[in-house]
Amino acid sequence: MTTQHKILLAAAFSAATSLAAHAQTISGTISDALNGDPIAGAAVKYGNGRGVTSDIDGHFSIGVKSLPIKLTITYTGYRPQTLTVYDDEEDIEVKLTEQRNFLNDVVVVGYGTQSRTQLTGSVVTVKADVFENSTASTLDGALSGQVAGLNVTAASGQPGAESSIRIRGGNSVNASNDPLYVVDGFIYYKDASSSGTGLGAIESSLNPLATINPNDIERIEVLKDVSATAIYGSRGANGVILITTKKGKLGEKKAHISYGYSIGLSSVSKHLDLLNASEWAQFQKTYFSNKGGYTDEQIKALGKGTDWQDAVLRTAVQQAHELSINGSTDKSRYAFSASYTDQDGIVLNSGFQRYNFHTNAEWELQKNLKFGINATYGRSKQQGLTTTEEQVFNSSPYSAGITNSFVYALLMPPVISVHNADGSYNFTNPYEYAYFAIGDHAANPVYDLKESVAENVNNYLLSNVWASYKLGGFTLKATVGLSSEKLTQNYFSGAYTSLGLATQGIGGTGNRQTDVWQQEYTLSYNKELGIHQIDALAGYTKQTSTSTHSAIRTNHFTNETLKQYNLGDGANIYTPQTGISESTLNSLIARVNYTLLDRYNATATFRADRSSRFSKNHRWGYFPSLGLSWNADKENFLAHARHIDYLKLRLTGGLVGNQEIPDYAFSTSYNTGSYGGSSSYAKANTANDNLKWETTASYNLGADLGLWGGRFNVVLDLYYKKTSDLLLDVPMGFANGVTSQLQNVGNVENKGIELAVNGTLLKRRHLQWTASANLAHNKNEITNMGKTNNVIQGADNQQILRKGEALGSFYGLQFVGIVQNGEDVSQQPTVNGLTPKAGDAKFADANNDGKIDGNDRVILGSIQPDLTYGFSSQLQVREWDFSVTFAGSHGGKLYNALGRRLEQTGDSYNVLSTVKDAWTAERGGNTLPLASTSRPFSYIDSRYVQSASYLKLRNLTIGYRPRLPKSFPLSLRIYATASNLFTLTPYKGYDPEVSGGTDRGAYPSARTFTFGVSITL
Amino acid sequence: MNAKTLLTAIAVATTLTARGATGQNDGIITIAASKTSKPLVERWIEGYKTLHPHVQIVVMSGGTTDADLTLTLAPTPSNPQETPTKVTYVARYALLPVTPASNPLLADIQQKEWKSKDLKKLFFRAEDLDEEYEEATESKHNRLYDKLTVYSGSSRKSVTRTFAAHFGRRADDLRGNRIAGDDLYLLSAIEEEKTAVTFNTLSNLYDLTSRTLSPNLVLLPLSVKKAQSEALLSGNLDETLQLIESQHIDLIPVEDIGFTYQTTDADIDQFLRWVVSDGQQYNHQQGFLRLPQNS
Repeated sequence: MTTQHKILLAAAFSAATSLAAHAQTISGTISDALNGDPIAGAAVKYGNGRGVTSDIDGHFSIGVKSLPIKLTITYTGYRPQTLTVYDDEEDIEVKLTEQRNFLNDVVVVGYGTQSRTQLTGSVVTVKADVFENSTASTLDGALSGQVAGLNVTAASGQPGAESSIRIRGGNSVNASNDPLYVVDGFIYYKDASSSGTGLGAIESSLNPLATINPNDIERIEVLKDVSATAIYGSRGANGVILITTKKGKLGEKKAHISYGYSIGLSSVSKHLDLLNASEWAQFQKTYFSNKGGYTDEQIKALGKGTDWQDAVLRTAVQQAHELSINGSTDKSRYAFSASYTDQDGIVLNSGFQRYNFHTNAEWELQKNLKFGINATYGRSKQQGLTTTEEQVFNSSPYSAGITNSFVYALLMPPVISVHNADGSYNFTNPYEYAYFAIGDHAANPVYDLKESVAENVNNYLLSNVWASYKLGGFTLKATVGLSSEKLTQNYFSGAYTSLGLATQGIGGTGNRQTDVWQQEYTLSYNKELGIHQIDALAGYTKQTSTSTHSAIRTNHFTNETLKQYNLGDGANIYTPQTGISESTLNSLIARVNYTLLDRYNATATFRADRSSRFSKNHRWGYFPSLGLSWNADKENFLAHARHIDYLKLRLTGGLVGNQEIPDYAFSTSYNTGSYGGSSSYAKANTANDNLKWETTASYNLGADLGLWGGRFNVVLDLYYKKTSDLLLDVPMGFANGVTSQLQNVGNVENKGIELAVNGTLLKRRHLQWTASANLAHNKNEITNMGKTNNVIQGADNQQILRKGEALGSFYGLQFVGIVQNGEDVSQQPTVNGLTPKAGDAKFADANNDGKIDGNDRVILGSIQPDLTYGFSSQLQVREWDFSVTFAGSHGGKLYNALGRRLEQTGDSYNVLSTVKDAWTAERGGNTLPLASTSRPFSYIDSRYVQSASYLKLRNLTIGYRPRLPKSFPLSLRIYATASNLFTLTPYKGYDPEVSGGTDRGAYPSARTFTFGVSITL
Repeated sequence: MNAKTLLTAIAVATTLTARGATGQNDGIITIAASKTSKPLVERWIEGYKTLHPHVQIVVMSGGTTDADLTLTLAPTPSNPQETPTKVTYVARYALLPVTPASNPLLADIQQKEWKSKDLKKLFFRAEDLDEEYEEATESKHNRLYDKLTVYSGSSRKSVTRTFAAHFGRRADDLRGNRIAGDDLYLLSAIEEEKTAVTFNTLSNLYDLTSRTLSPNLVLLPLSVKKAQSEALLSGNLDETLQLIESQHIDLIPVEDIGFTYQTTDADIDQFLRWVVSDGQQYNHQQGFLRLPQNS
């Protein structure tokens, strides 16, 4: 350009500016002050309530009549900036700085996001670092101890096994108490009808959360109160867990590639102290018939003998590979990950493997039109233990406390060897004459575990596509998705295994195909009008679920080589099991958030659900909620309180529902079978035309407080929940042809208090130290049981549903000691008509009728803990990082059925060493009665309802990021993690964490040491 | 601006176009300068043209990107993707903190001797959480800082970056409100908000005719030697310039001003040589510091 032209243009520009001053356009760019990334979606307000938002490149432009003009630029999570524009000689550059403030978080809520300042509900966010520091293969393992009021109880130590997750206690008896999981805005639906294939015989079930790789998770929101969960209406009663997976970050055009590898060693965290060979032989000689015919010298020479506990346990290796790639372009962002986990279990032949591929991408197709896809495909395989299964007759090994081969190993006499002298398996056990021996052949638990098959294999695809179109303040979004899972269960126990002995081998295979289609159509509207801010949402969702299953079992095998892959070899075929189950859920949803003056917030939510699971007249359920919150810190009287960053008070109330019952529970149904070579039908369920929604009315009062410049945050919540029309299996009279029927009966209440604090203790350039702690108390009570009070449950009749007591209450006799020599027994209540003698157990005569029977049973506590708590801390010192996580529970009880079994004396099975202190005439004793072959009282007693309180060091990690030369194109972190390093507990079994409240010999938990490296390009 | 201005502009444009048509385009230099520095440039041109009347030098707005020379008040970040830019330093400027004379907190402000630590606390956000903690735990009655609103510039060409860099911070770390536009407007902004504080060049703070501080502004009393303080608080521009040129005062940011350019020709070279020598005599007149003697 020539000089003249430059000047000409300058002059003309000046003139034009002058002339057009009444209608000029100013434009600028908004970016992150720290990294320069453009900020899309920042609000630029000017004039009287007018405003625009920045585009994907952070650009904005506005037409103004004159200058100067004052702009206010806001974006959640950043400090607002006031900027007065005096001239437009150059583009405006706005650099926003991040604001460290809990309330500035954007929180993911149902069907959208919301600023925490505007939130009315109780929502807790768990960030990605929690999952990165944990080596748990499923997210529930990492959540333990992280959220006040969220109680995670591992079902067992079996790799890949599910956990019991309860948010603010359990509401329901027969309907599910599991929270609802929503992955990237899409409901991950675990149907109550779709957990198995009908095969049975496999002890563990695969964790539904195993489909999600924890390292793909960007954040998790736990919605606890009704204002937050009501948008999920029928499925919000148990709380909602929103999982957001990692995405490429807009503006970061360089792809981030990371790879991680870890390897770990696991071993059992606690050994039970059982008698060794010498002790057991001596015990047999002293109290029983000394079947082995051992002399005292021989007994001494036996030494430790076989430690069957050690024989079935092992040091297990686990390893994981992770690859993730994410990034963005001008109009798109993407994330992809692939992972492989291979985790051997500490019990022989058990383990968990998973391949998982995840992708998450979105494109801006045209201005205001976006399209996205989320997909996870994977395959998980769990090798577990075969179970003896619960039988309804007294002579089954299960009812005798032998639930699986691992438990059987604990019972094996230590004088029996695993192998014969020639190295072959030893199938001779003269002490076994009850359940697991036929003729000369006795079961060998090591062989059982190594040769039996108990597999769950799940192939899954979770996918959805969505499109959204923005028009002014309106956004229309449509999402369609499919969750498809194919579960295969394989089971085989050969002729020399415990379960195959009687049948010359038994095997089976089962399949379940579950397809859940979901459609969601929402219209949202967002508008700021001066001091008013409105965010509204309305929509329709539909979910169609179809689940089919088939299972076949055969026995009497002549060739076991191909195991379950040659079922045709089984001469005897059980009746094949097949079935289909379908359900639909149509829902209308609506929500309005209103904020006045950035101080006063209201959220009104309504959802109407129509579920096919209820009878025709009761299919619609209506679930409204209202939440209010007040940002008190913005009031004048607190505005200058320097030590207070924010203070928010929240109050919410509303109704949510529960429909997690099997399909067709409202109708009459029959089970097919065979009888005398012909088909037969047995009534399985009798119709209930009045079956309707279980509803939970919930109220929450909460406060969020931030102090000292984001240094210390406190969240306090008080809540009350009342569940009505409880879905309860009510015992039925014989005339109905069924033993029970699902009815809407009774109420359960939960009330509690939760406190969470987190603080930054130090934050300097090379030294950062943070800590967080949470504490929750929940009181659970059945307040109404209708006409069906006192429903006794459990294989040992150990639990009871009773008005005035908590769900999961234990019911049994109160043990008071052992009758001592010379004790006056004339006043002792009789047992089975007999007066107890010295060495017998004594129980409290609760009803003072002079005899001990079922009427003397009392409540012995419940599975509900009084307190659950967690503590975690992270320290970063230059290149080093340390983190520690504790989790604890106090006041809950657990029925130690395994302990009861292992303190039951006899001439067949090994016992705990505590039995050495059983009462004898010589030394007395006040815990265990005189050893004998008598079976224990048919009612459980207080000795075995034990405290399940614990404090666990869940995770201890040390990491190091070496300083690499700048020319290196990568960063590196090396770390070591110890999981379950120690557990402080008075519980006498393996581990106090057993879901359901009964420890029948659950797979023991492991202590794991993991070493890993992660590389980021 | 009005129709008269427009007509003038059109006349200039017409003249230049005519010159271009006749091939008489030699000796025209274009200079981009902000409103703050424009009077200095114009004074230089005036002085230069007395010696070289044939040379035409036109001053363009600060936003112009293709002028022959651009007078830059703030250090430009190095961007390897841009064409290397040459710089000839031609003056210096000093920044002083000010508040409106009508500030209701003036007595509190003047009661204090502002040390570097105080200025940092006043103008910048806490550097880390520990500092935030210290601030937060101080009694709010002592927090004069919180009652004052800081105004600073958002432009890349603003002296804000110089001010922040002097105190070891980044422009993004400044508290309070921003303006878009020339730094001159910072003084307009604090007129609107009486409890405001800002900083600016001497050329904008002082009346160049009366050689005194603008009557509606008051300097923040700095914690300097008594003689230095007296000179600063005298409100006399020349005494202030003399002081800052002769003594290093840690609390006063001083920065070079330079002409940046991609290429030059003989006319431009000649002009630049004149500015760094004879042209220095006009710097004080316009409120700027001269180049050091040995530069």
